[in-house]
Amino acid sequence: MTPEPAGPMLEVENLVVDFATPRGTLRAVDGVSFSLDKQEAIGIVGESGSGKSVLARALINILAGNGTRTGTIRIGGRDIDQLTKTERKHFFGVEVAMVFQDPMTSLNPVKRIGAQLTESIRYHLGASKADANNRAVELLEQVHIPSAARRLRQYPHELSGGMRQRVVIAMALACEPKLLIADEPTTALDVTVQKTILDLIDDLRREQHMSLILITHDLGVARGRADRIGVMYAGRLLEQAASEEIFTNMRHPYTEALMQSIPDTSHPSHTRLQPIPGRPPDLLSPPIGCAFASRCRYAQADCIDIKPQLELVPFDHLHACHHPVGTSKGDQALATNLAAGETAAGLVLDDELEGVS
Amino acid sequence: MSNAAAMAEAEAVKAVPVGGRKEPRNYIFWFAVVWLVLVLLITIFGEWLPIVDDPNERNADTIKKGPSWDNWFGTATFGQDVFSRVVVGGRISLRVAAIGTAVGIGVGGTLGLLAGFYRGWVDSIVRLIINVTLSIPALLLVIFIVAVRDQSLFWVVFAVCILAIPALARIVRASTLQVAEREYVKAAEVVGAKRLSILFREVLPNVMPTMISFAFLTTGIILVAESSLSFLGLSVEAPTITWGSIIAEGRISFQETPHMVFLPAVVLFLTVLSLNFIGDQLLKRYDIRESAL
Amino acid sequence: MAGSGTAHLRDDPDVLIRVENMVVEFSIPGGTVHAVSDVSFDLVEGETLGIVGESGCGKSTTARAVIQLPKPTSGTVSYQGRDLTALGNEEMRKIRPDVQMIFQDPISSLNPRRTVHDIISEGLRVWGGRGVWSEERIEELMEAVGIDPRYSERKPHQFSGGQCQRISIARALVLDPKVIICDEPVSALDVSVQAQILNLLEDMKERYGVSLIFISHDLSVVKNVSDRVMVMYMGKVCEIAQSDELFDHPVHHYTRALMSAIPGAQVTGQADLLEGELPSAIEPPSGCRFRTRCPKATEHCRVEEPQVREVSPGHWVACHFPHERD
Repeated sequence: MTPEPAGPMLEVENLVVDFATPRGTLRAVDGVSFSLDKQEAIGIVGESGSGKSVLARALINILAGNGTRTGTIRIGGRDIDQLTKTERKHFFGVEVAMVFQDPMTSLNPVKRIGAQLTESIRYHLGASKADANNRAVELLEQVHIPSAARRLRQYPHELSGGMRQRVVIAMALACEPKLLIADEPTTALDVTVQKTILDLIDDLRREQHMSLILITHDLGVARGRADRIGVMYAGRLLEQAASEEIFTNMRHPYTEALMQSIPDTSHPSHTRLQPIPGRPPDLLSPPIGCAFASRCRYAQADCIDIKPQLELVPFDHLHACHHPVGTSKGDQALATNLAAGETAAGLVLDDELEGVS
Repeated sequence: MSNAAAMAEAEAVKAVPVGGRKEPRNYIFWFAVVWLVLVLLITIFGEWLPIVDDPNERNADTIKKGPSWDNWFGTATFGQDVFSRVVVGGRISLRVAAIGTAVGIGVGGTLGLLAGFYRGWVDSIVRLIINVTLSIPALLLVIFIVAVRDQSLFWVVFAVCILAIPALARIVRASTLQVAEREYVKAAEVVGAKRLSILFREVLPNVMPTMISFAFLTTGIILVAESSLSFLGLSVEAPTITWGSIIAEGRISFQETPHMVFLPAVVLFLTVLSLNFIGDQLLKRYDIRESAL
Repeated sequence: MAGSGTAHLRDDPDVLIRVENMVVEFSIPGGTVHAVSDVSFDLVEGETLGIVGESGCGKSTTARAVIQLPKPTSGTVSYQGRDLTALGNEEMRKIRPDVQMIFQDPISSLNPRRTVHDIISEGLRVWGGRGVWSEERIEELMEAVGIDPRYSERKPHQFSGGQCQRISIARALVLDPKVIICDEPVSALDVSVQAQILNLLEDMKERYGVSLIFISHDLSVVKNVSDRVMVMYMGKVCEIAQSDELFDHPVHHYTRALMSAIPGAQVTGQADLLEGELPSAIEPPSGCRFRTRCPKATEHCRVEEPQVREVSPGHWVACHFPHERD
């Protein structure tokens, strides 16, 4: 392999993904920029339709046919648009691997586990059949699948959901990727299985010095497993900071609202929840200003007119908000709105926020 | 579980929103509709039109002539006007197809609906009927029926119905099974609705689109089947004409008079194609509605 | 876990539903699936009972078997003193309005070809004679659940997932039920919408005086809405207690494993981790069904099935060697 180039593992600059739909252009990812260091893990958190999965697909070049991407993606310092066809094959099989939510997306139901694993090893690494077989057993052991040699002869449907996801992870690791993208890898699994899979990904990442992008709708999943967390909403990254910083010192009102809406087991039962009122904007006709303004308790006139850009504040914390939480501007905005009983966007602030989904 | 959420996300991105009327292929759909309406109107009201003559009127002056202003589709072996024959023959062909489909939907659809909804022994019996009838070679069965009885319109229709019933029963049963699994059916039961009311109010309206789409497809299939029978000389006997018999007759002197085969065949082809296309589009449209829900 | 017994049933005069030794089995080509095995619980008026467990634990089947969909293989379900398992179809149908249900999938639970008005009023159509059949009732309910009554002629696909779930709630409330079974009602929703629906359920419970059986795989959701929580594993009861008690002092090893697996939970001290795979529901383990994965299992657990017993007032567990109540 070529000597390690210096610099970050992944750089994404102003990534925009548009989908042509019968009703017009849908901007699923809207100017996302971030970088990921070698061996670093970033969690991308967002709700349905936030564009987090599209972002992942754009990164490995597998957008649906009606999607177009602009902006630069550099992996290991190389612009992926400048790659030749053979280089691309090397990149998106060897250097970058992906794990999807549904293991059956990646597994062929009519082929044995062993055949699927060795195929990829032989294709990408040119190993002999025997070597590939040994490597396959090794990989399954690495993801803690018991009696690995026997599993090679089994079909995907003979395994439980958790085991299948382990096989998919083993397949992703087969070529020792430098960057692993996991798109909701545990969403379809039970909590106890989820925990073991997340722990597994975490361990493997450290052992193999991989970078990791963990995409999830669950802030709790990203917590403790990602060095940094980015929060996405309506196609934009609204906030990005070190994992604990996001939890203890969130700046964006959406991040705050998202955390407050999740029931917490440390609260007594029947604790009133604080939902986010309203619903996300229609991406076919996005608002001019901040996408969250219509649901935000802090919203002021400038939020409706001017789209906030990402701003760097101390402790390596990025946020895109005119009136960030926990700052004097934010406090003032909230106080004004509470006094008026409604926000500049017309959201009525009761004692309790309740809205129609 | 969260599968649904993820799917919703994918859907939001793929975004084939409901009411996305501006599909590029829609004009083909409307062309098919216009063609069918035209064919129906002309075959039904053809006799009162000045362009249609007695299809069996012989004319020694115009034997095996190509298309002309007087005879749009040319003339046949004894100088009959082929266009008039196509119009009148179409009436029989389309009637056979329509009756076959109606009986198929009526009997087969009901069987399928009952089997899919009540399951258990009802399903076992219906499945047995479907499997047995489907495993008899269709064409042979029809040939047999027509051969032992007679080649009257009734027996041809009867034979065609035998083909349509199990095929439609199977499709409707599959669709019913799927719909009956939906939670709104459970929900109606929880509310306390009676079984029969659930069948008619919750299940049937959701099986209907599939039924209607397949009715169009079946009509097309029956048209072709009837033509094949005619071609084999097993359909309705002369002097009754069908599209199949016109083509079969023309085949004999194909070298001299290709128009006798070609033009009626084009009409048949376009009609079947239109039926298939409409059925397909309806199916697709309802599918999209369902998935975009 | 994997326990049986009826010791935890209460003698309260307000008991609405009392399930005793319920068994639900399904025959499949490979054998018999033991979906629910000897489960007992009760529900007092005004209470919310949460049933929590992982996929395949039988929580959903348990709740559905209460309303005889499917009919339990054995055991009794008494509702206000009447044994529902002994009723004929028509008698059962007459009781149905009292026990309503909300389903997981907001989209599949509404008929796509009917209007919102028709969907909500279906109960009134069926039971015209019962209660007040009026347009005002529908309108009032739509407003109560947060759907603008002007949209009553729209079809389900014109609403979002959260709104569909609101419509489902209105449909369940229209017959003035005593109990609503909520089968994973928020699992398909985004967290921000989930909070709206959970709050709405609490409000409706208060306003219309219903009791809830709330099923979910999500512990934090169950804790938030429930008064009592029952933890299930492979068709058996593990632990049942008041919600706060259960979450503060879990004693069953399975409950503890579940809680330590909550994403983002700050795990303190020794976490119970689950080893191995879920055994087959066709041939469940002998004795305690959890023993194959339990860190504390002994030979005794293989031979004898634990019975439900009380570890502190109102806190019941089915385990031979429960964790100390810390």
